[in-house]
Amino acid sequence: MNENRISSELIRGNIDTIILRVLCDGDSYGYEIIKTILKKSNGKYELKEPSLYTSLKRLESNKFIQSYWGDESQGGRRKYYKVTDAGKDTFHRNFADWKIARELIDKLIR
Amino acid sequence: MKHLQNYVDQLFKEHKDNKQTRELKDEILSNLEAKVADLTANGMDYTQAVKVATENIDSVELLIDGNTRVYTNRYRIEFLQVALLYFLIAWVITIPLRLVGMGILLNFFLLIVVFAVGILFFVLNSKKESHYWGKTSIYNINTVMRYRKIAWLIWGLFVTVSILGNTAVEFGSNIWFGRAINITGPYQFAVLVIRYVLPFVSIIIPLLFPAALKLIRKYEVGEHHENQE
Repeated sequence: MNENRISSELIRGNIDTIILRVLCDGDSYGYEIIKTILKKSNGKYELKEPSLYTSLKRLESNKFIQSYWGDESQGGRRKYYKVTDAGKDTFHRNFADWKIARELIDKLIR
Repeated sequence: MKHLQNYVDQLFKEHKDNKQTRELKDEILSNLEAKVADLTANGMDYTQAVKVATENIDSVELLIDGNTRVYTNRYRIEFLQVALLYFLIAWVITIPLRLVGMGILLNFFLLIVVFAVGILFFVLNSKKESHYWGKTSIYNINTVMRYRKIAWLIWGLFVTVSILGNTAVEFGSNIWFGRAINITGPYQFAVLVIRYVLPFVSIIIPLLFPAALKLIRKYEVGEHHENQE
């Protein structure tokens, strides 16, 4: 439990980038984003809904993503998200930053 | 799916029904439905799936526009400190205004307010418990900004009416009765000026709102706290 806690602490600062990465592969909606992340992490990291919604809200207000309502034949309306060009740029920049940080941290704490 | 609908309604029961909350509600509901459908497809029974799906969301406060979580008591104490300072300054400024009856009243009233705010400040500030300092609550920035606008409107109206009223009383005899204005010396002049200046002291009330906004941002609980379940 404690281990999970620490690793999610480390991941937390990168949630926006992780979500942008998912959306770079194609438009998606809330629960599907959570599932994709869970699958990509081999079941090790489950993004919690409150973090998901806050992050989506922040990304949308920064115009990194756009939302639109899908037309579901059954069930409720589903809200989809689409990455914008600015969002893609941000993702690539964050990814480059992360690589630098990772190398640095590796050197510092190895 | 009635359970989920009720659950989401419950989450939003404190909130105004507008476009933003309606969309958020629909979004949360459709995601919960997808999650329950997914869990049941993997063999979980429906009741259990609803329980698992809903356990992560217990509040939607921070998803509402303008809502922010603030360290309640740290914010209150510094706000009281700012208010105390403002009232003290107003009290000092109004000391020379004691020439006029209204000035004495105002000056005395401000002194009482200074004492009241001061006592409150020291009482709140004297608590040492960590849960007291760690206590948080939700404030809405948009609401504060709306109040600020209203405060400035009322203040503007009040000052305008005061100036017009004073002018009518002081110079009315000149306009309507053709009697020349008679200022016989510095004392009369000072009394006249004070009548005009007095209402402006109330500017400290609308000025407290920008201070509140600044402090709300200062005592905002960081991201770490926000994402904790």
